[in-house]
Amino acid sequence: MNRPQRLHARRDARGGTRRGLLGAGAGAAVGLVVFLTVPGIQPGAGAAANPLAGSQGVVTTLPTTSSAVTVSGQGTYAGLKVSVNQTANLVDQAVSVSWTGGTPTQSSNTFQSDYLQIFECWGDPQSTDPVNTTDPGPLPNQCQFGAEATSSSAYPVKEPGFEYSRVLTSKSWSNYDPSIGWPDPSTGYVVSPFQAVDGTVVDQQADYNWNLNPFDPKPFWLNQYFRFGTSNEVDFARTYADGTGQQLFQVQTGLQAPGLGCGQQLQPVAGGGTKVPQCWLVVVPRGTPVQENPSGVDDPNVLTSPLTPSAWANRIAIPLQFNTVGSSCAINADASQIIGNEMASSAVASWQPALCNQPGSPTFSYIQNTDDQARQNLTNPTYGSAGMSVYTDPVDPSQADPSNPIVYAPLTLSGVAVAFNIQRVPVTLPSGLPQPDESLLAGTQVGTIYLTPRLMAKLLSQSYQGQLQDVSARKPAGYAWALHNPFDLLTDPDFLQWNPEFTLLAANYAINAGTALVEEPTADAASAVWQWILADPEAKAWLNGTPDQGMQVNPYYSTNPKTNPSGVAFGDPVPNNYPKSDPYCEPSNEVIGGVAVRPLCILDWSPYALTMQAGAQATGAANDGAKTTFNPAGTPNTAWGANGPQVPGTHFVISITDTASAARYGLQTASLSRAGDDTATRSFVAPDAAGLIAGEQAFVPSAVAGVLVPNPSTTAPGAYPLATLSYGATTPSTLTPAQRKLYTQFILYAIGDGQTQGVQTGQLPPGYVPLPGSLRLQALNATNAILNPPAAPSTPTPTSPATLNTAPSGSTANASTPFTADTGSPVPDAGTGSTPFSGSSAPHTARPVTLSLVHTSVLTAGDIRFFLPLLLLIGIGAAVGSLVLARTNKAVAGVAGAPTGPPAGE
Amino acid sequence: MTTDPYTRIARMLRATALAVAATALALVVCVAGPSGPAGATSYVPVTGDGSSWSAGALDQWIADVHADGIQINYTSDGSTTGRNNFITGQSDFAASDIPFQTNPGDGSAPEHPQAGSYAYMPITAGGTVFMYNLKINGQRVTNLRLSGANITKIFTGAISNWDDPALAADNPGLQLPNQSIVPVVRSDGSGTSFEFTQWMISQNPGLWNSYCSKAGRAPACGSTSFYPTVTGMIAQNGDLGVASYVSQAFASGSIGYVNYYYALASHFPVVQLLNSAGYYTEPTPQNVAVSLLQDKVDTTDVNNPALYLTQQLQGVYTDPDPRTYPLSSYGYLILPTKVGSSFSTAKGSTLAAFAYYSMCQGQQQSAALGYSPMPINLVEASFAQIAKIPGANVQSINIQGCNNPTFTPTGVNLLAQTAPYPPACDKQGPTQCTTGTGGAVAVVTPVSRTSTAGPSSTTATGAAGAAGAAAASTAAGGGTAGSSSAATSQTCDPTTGACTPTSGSTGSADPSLAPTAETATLATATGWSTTQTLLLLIGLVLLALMLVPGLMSRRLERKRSP
Repeated sequence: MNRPQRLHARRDARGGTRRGLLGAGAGAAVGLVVFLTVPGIQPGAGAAANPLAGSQGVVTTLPTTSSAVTVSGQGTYAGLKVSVNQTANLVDQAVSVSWTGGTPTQSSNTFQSDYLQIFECWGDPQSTDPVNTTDPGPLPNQCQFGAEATSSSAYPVKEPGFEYSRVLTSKSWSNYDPSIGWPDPSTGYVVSPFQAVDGTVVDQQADYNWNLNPFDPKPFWLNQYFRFGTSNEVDFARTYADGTGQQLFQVQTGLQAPGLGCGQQLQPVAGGGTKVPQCWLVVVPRGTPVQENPSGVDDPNVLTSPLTPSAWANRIAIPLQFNTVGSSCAINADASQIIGNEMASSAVASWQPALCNQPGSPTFSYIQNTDDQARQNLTNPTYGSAGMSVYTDPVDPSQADPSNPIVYAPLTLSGVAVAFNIQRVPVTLPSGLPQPDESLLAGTQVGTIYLTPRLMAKLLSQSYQGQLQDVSARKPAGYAWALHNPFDLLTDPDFLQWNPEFTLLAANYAINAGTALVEEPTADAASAVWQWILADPEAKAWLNGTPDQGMQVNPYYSTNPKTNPSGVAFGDPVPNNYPKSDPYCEPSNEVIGGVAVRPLCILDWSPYALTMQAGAQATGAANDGAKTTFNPAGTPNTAWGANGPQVPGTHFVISITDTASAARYGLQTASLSRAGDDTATRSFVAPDAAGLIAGEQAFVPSAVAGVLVPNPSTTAPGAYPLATLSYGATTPSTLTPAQRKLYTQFILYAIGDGQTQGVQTGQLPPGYVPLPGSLRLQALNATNAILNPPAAPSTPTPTSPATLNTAPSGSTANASTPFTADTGSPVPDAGTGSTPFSGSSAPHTARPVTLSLVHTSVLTAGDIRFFLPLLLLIGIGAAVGSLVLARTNKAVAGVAGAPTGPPAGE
Repeated sequence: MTTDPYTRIARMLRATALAVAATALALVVCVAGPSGPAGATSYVPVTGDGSSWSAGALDQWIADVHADGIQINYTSDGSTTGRNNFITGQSDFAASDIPFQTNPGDGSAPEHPQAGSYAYMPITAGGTVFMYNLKINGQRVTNLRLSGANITKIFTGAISNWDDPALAADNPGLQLPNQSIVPVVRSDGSGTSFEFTQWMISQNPGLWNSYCSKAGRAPACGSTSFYPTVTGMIAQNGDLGVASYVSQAFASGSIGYVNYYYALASHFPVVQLLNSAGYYTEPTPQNVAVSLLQDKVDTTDVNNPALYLTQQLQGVYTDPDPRTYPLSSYGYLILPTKVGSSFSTAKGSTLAAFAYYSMCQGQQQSAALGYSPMPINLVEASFAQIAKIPGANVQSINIQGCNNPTFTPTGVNLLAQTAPYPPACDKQGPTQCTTGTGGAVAVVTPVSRTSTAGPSSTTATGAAGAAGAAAASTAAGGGTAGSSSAATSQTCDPTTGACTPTSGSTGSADPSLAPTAETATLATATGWSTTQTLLLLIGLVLLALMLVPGLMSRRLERKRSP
C-alpha cells in the first residue's frame, strides 16, 4: 500500500467539513442569498400534494453581474463549463462558481473521485505554458493551495492523501522526479514551492514529522503566507448527479491573502518598481483514481495534488480583476464610541473605513453588545459609557431622563432571519434504494423552506422528540405528552404540508432538524420572534396546550400556568431571549473508572451561540458546537467531546440570525407566514428587499413620539414580519459640541452614502435594505436636534469619558487641589469665564448622570471651587460697589444737598 | 502597597529602553513596517486562540482594527488549548489567563514552550464572577452576597443548600430558600478554573484539600485548570457554556463562574464577594482597577520570559481597600518572540500593531464590555514585550500615542483614583442593599429586616439627608488621599436610600457604582437640601457683603453730615 503515511490519527466517523468559504470563516460581506421564490407565494398548499424533487429550490448561486464569465474545460473535460458570476471590481467578497457538464462525484461523503478543486492564484499569464498556450494562466507555484490541517478530521475524506496538499510526488511512486519541486529530505516527498507575489519562495510547507511532545514540540505548518483556516481554497467541490455543481468562493485581496497581493501594488517589475499582480481563479477538475494516480499506486481515492503537472494540465484559469485595496483607517486614532446591537454591526463595519477617509478623519468604534446594554448606556451611564447607542426598541419613557431627552436617528433596516444550511439526503425506499427523483439532487443545497409561527414555536420549545434524547424508549415519568410528538421537522406533517419536497428527504442529523441554533444573550431580535409567534392564533393555541395532529407543546413552554411546571405562564412577559427550560437529560451508559459518565442534557446536544453572527457562521460551517461524542480519556464529568462539523452533502442546521449575517455566510433564509394568516392558502414572505420594505411600512408608533417600532404581528400583504430598524440614539445634552458634530457626521454618512447597496467599503452590505426616504428625513431631523439640543441644560457641561481621556492634561491645572480626580471636569470654560452667580446653580440642574459617576462625586468639589473665584469676584464687586455707593452717596448728597444748603466745603 | 508605583514605573521605563535597544539591531534589517498609520496596507492575517475569559474584549478589538486593514483570527477555545496550540506552532499567538504550566501541581502534563519563543503581556483586566440563578418566592434575587469561605464551601460541596445558616449570615436581608445549590464549573482546560482554585487554596486551604481528596485528585491538589468535580456539580464548556447553563429556568439554584462580560450579556446578577475591608463588591471597572493595584506583577527581569509580567494575586485577595473585588486579575496574550515555523516579521508587525492598539485605544472600549482598562505601568511594561515581537515597529510603540483612558500625568491610575466607595449597605453587617448587580443592575431585590436586629430603617432614612453632603466630600477626599485612608471614609456614610426598605427608589442606581457621594449628589440634584440652603446663605451673605458697606457708608455719611 503506497498510501502516504501521516502522523495524524485516522479521522473519526463523524465526518469533516468542506473547506473554503465557510471554513475560512471571517471575511467581508458575502453576496445576497437568492430566493427562488417570489415573496408571498403559496407553496404546495395542502398536505404533501405531489412532492416534487427540487421544489424547495436548487439554485443558490449569487446573481450574475456584467463581468460574469463562462469558460469551458479542455481535453477530457471539454464538456465542463464553469461560470463565475463576477470577475471584476472585486473586493474581499464571495463569488459563485457554478458548472455544468461535469462527471458526478463518486462517494458523495468521501470524495473518492470526480470533483473540482478551486483556488486563487497570482501571476503574469504564462504564454510559454507548454500545456496550454491558448489559455495562459499562472504557474502552479503561484497558487494559494495546500493549507493542511494537522487533524485529518478536518477533511471530508475517509483517509488522508495528497489531494489537498502541495506534495507533487513521493520517492516510492513510479512518477518520482525530484526536479519538479522541492525534495523534502525528511520524507522523500517532492513539494510544490509557494512563490509569493513579492518574489519570496517558501519551499517547505509543512513538517510532516511534527509532534506535540511538550518537551520538544515540532510545529507542523511552516508557510507564513497562508494556513488552514485562512486559505480560501476549496479542496472538494461536488458535482451532482445531473452533472452540475455550485460553490461559493470567497475571493481574497492582499489583506486576506498577503502571498497573492490581489489589488495591491506589490509585484516587483523588471527594472524596478512594482505593479498590481494579475490574479486568477483556478479550477482543477479531478477525475478517477485511475486517471489521476501514478501507475502502481492502487487506491480507491484520488490522492494527488492538483498542482501535479498531470492534474494542472486540466486547469481552467479565469482572470480576476480586483479593486485597488483602499487606504484604511489610521490605527490608534482617537475613536468616538458607539455601543450597539448586532443588527447594525455589519453595516457599521462597512462604514467605518469610509468614514475615516472623510474630512477630519472621524474614527468610530462600534462596541457590539446587547440592545439592553445599549439602552442602559443612555439611561444608566457609568464609567466608560459611549456617546451613542444603537438599538431597536426605544427606551421606555418611564426609564428615560426627561431633562436629557434621547434623540433617535434611523440607521439600518434589516431583518431577523431564520437561516439554514440544509443539503438533500434522499429518503431510502423500502427497496433499500434512494428515492429516484430526489437521488439526482442528493447533496444539493435546499433553496428555501417555509415556516409558520407554530413551526417556529415547535423549534424553539424543545417539543420535538429529538430534543428529548431517547424519550420514547425511556418513557420517563412526566413525558407522556412527548411520546406522540414527531421526532423532527421532517416527520411533522405540519412542516411537510408547506414543504412537501421534504417528504422525499431524510435528516441525517435529526437533533438539528428539530431545533434552531440561537444566541444566548438577550436581544430585541429575540423579542420580535416571540411577539410574532405569540400573535399568531394557531401558534398561541398550540403553546396553550391545543395539540396539533397529536403534537403537544413541551409543558415548560406552555402559556397555561396550570400546565407549566414552573407555575408561571410562558410568554408573559414576552421573552427577550431563547430559554431552554426543560431540564430533561438522558442518563449515560458509559462508565469511566467505575463511575457512570454524566447524563447528556439539552445544552450538550443543542448548545447556544454567543452571537447571531456566530450562529450564522456555525450554520455555514455545519458545526453547531454540540458535544455528545464520548471521549473515554475524559473524566465522568468531562467525557462528552465536540462532534465537529456535519458530513458534507448531509448538512442540516437552522439558526436565528440577522439578514446581514445570513448573507455574509452565504446562508439560505426561510420564508415566513404572517401572524394571523392561518388559512390553508396562507402566503409566505422572504426577508428580501420587498419583504423588508413592506415590513417597514407596517411598523407602528411606539411610546416614544416619532419612533417607530417593528410590528411582528403585522398582517400587511407582503410584509416580512421580522423586519427590524436599528436607531442611533443619543442624549445630545450630555455631549460636547465636538461630539455632537462627530455623531452627526456619522449619521449623515449612514443615511447618505452608507445606504448605497453593495459590497464595497462604505456601502450597505447585502442583507440590509436602503432606508426609505421618510426614515432618512427623520434621521436628518435628528442630526439637527443633536447639533442644537433643547435649551434645558444651559451649559453643555457634561464631558463624557471620551473627552476626559483626550485631555488628561487638564488635571495639571488642578494638581494643587486635592481634587485631581476631576481631570475632565467640565469647568475649564466656566472657570475662566467666571459666569454670573446664576451659573453656579447650573451644575445642579444639569443632571450629573451623564458624567461618569466618579465625576459626580467631584461635583460638590467643583461647586466649592466654583465659589472661590466667584467669591473673589463678588469681593471685588463689593469693594467696587462700596466705592461706587460711596461716590453715589456723595453725588446724592451733593444733589440732595444743593437745595438744602451749602456744602460743608463752602 | 508593597512597591512604590513611581519606582516601579521608572524600573519599567528602564526595562523598555533595554528592550528597545536589544531589538533595535534586529529591526533595522526588516523595518518596512507601517511608518505612517494611515493606509498601512502591509498588514497580514494573524491567527490565535485561547482564553474565553478575555474573548469579549479581544473580539471587540479584532472588530475595531478590521477597519484599519488588520485581520486577526481568534478562536475562544480555552486557555489550555491556546497555550498548547502556541507551543506546537498551530497559532501565531495565544491568549491565556495563566502562564505556561511547566511544573503543574494538579498532575497534568507539563508544558514546555521553546526557550526564547514567547513573552507574556497582560491585555485585559477584569473580574471572575459568580453568576447565579436564584429566586425567593418566584422573585429573582439580584443582590446575593457571599464571603470567600462560603463560595469555597459551595464549590467544594461543604455547603449544598441555599438555606445554610452560613449563607444567611452574609445575607441578613434575604430569606434564602431551602433549595439545593448546583455549582457549575468549567469542563475544559480553563485559566479561570486555575485562578479560582488558586484563590481557594490560598484563602481556604483546608476546605480545598479535603475536597480535592474527596474528588480523587490527592495528592496533586495544586491549582488546576481542570476543575475536579463530584456528583451534584455541573461542568460546562467555556464561559458561554457556564453562562448558558446558569441562565436557564431549570438551573434555578445554580451558580457558576464566568468573566463579568458574560453575566452582563446574559443580564444575570453576580455575587457580591466579601473583601478584606468587610464590603461586598462586584468587579466594576473601577473596583477592578483598585484591586489590581495590589496585583504584584513581576518586573524583576525583562529578560526572564517565564516570570516577567506574570501576576501574583495574593495581595488582591487580602487588599484592605473597601472597593476591592478579590477575584480581579489580568488576562494575558502570549506573544511570539521568534521568527519560526510559519511566523514571519510581517505577521509580527501586524501582531505588534494589534497589541499596541489593544493596550491603548482599545482600552477605551473595555469598560463598556465589563473589563477594566489597563493601567499605565502595565501598558508601558507591555510595550517592552511588544517590542520583542520580530517585526514590531518600535518607533510607533510609545506612550505619547497611547490613548488609554486610565492615564494621568502623574502616572497614577485615574480609574483607581476616582473609583467610588461602596455604599454602607454593602458593608458586612445587618444591612443589605436592594440594588441589582451585574447584568441585572436594574432589578431591585427587596430585603427584609425581620431576620436581624440591625439599625431600624427609620434611623437610616433620617440620617440620609443631613449627612449627605458631608459624606460626599469625605469620600472624595479619601479617594484622592490614597487607599490607606479608606477606613475613615467608610465609617462616615450612613446614608444611601438603598438601605431603606421604604420605596423602590434605587431602581436606576447601582450602589457599587454609585458611591455615597453619588447618592448624595443625586439627592441634592432632585430637591432642596443642605447644599442648596448653604448656597443660598452664602449668596445672601455675599449680597450683604456687597451692599452693606456702601449703604452703611452712606448712612454713616448721612449721619456725619447733619
